[in-house]
Amino acid sequence: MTPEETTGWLLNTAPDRNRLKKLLGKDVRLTREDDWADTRLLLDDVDWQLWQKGLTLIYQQASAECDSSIKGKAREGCCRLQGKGIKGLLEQAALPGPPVFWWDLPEGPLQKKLAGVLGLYSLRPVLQVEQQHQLLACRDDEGKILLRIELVEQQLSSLRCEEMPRHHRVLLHFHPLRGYESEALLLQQRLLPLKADVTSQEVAGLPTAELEATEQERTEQARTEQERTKPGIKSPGKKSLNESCDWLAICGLQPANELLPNPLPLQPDEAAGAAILRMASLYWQQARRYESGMLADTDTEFLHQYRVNLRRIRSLLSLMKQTLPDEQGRLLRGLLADLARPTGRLRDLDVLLLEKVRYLQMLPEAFQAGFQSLLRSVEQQRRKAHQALVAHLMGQEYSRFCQALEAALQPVPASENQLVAFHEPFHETFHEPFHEPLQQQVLARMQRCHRRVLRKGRRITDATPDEEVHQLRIECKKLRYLLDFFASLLPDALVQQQLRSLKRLQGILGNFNDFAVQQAFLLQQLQPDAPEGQQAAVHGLVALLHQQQRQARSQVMQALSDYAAQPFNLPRPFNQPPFKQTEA
Amino acid sequence: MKILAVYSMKGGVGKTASAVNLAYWAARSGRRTLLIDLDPQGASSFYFRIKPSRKSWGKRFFKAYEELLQHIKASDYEHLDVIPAHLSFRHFDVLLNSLEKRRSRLKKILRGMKGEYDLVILDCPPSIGKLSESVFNAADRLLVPVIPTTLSERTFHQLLDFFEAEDYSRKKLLPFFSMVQQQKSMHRNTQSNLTNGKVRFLETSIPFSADVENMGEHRAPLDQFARSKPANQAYRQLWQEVESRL
Repeated sequence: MTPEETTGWLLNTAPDRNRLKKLLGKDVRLTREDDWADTRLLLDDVDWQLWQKGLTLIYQQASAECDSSIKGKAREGCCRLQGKGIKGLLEQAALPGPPVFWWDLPEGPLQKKLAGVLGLYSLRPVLQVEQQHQLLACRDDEGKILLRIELVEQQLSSLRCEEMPRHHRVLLHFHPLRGYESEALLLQQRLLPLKADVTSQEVAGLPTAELEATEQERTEQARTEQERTKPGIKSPGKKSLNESCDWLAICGLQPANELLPNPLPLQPDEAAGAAILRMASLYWQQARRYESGMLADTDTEFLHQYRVNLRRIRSLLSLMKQTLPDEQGRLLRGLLADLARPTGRLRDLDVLLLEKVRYLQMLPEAFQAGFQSLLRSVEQQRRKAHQALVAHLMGQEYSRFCQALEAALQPVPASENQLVAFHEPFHETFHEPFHEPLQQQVLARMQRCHRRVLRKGRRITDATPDEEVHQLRIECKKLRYLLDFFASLLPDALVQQQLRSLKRLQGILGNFNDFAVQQAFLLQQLQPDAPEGQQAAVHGLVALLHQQQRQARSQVMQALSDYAAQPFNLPRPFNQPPFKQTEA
Repeated sequence: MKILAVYSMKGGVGKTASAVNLAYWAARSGRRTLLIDLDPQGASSFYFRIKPSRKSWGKRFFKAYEELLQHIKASDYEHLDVIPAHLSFRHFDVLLNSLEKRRSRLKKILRGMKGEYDLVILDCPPSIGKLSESVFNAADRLLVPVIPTTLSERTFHQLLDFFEAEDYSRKKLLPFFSMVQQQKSMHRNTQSNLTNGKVRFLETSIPFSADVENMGEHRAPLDQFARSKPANQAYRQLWQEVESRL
């Protein structure tokens, strides 16, 4: 029997033994089997990626008491992953304290699954569940166990807030035994009054059947009773209480409220300027979620995602700059550049360190020692860069930047008069595009962007200088951003098809650019007086990266022609005739 | 999945006590174990407090393994299930006589259990007939309890002769001394005779013990009520030895 085979109820209060005995009846003897305690942690990353995929990862802390299928096997601690598309993956493993990465788990299916979902994100405990268990056995006249029942008193606390208020609840789990299913069902029915949401009619209609009924009678009776008492009881063997799905709700944690909906909900006819400012505010709120992890240096994703969100805002404002008054746009772009600048150095060093295994694999063994010495120096620089970032984030200047940005992103009042009053000095004069329908502006922008990608793409040949290829990459990125930002205004099929075809083109152009950036960055790390071994390793790597860059370059032409062959049919804009399809 | 039969032509040699305690220790070691009580007296089932089915189903026993699945009952111990005996099992010899491929039938039926169990233990009735032949054919190992007395020695030799006559492999046989009373010279002499014979006896022997008799009163394996007693330790050791030979 595995824990998945149990069924369970939420109870109003913890019943005492006498109440249980009375409900079970005189033909059942109740004996105490075991008592134990355990602590479980629900784990996820800062962006709730497991939750988003419908997965639950529970870590049961090590306990010498826990060594059976009912108690859970956690002598050394164990992780259990459950959810959509998986039966339940279990791994016996003592996890280190947070941060925990997928590679901290032993090799196996669980590690593989987590690697695919988490990437470079670390896991952290979201909430803690302390449980007191009491296992009781319901026995027949010969002392044979017919059903085991497990009373669980839970104390749940969120680990996301400092005060950690505790939530208390009592559960009753049933552990049916093979061959005793009908007896288990009868006993569950006798215990029905304990159930938190049971109605008085259900209790009044309880069965009076004896356990000594004939086998056929018992099966028949069980089936009838099950049908009559729906939905109170599910047949044993099916899980009716997902242990963890409501833990979040009890602790007041709402992942959906922390994350941005994808795509962002937008109205085609809303004022473009207000929508852009609202979107930028949402991305800014997202960026700020990562500040604590950047300070604690929990994992590299905090800084990366912070920068991703800043870049989103900058791109949004840049792509839709006509919707905002020039002065406001300039101020916002300046502030965002000021916010992003102090994070660049640390991210560059992170990228190099994240690639270290790949670089080491690329180098022959003779060059590896030289590269290792460079890595040590990079790690030192990274520590300093992180200290500098912490000083920046904790400084007054950062607070001022944040306040200024938030003020500049305030939503615009509806009427022109209010607009002038509230948004001095940005709206001293009426800025018409600010009030134009969003979809109309977005579609026009998207059309222009797509045409530019095709036009620039047509000019590219195998002999075109690298700079022009980089320009094309930037145009593709803009189109990609527009599709991401405004997906809710576009037909889903168009978005999916464009994202698919852009993905391959962007992948090749991205590699082409990354290899160039990596070469430049590696050379930059090399001090003029660097030891010979280090110089040899870096130059060796640069040569290899250059080769890879040329390889990516050779794929650009084919990827471009594949992309150009794709249709690009934009919908009819709000109150406007449809766009003419761009010629491939 | 391995099939271990606990068999002796002679009654009262400790077959059921061995089957029950070995099944218990096998399950404790993490093997998903199914004990099938083939003895219509149903002593194994009694020890596990499992009531036999009210319906007579012996006739369907050899039909298909799905029939057996319906009669599996969980014991009170983790990883250990039991198919309790039924009085109708007393007709197994006659029933098998009327069936085709009677020798391989049990083996074929039990093969259906391999997804669910790691070990099937057969507690056999004390007889030699069609059922025993099916058991000899199905089992990977035959655990034979032998009381070190003249009569038991004779019975064991009869089994060896039967194996030779019917061309069964003697390698399947795992005899061990049961209910041993070392203070009796007859027990010592018989053990000496048999250990020098053609078939190697297991190292572990089970001492005669009142605790084993008390299993009927406690209706549980020895480990549940006589944990530190020599008989319990001996069964644990016996399981470890048998496990290494499976």
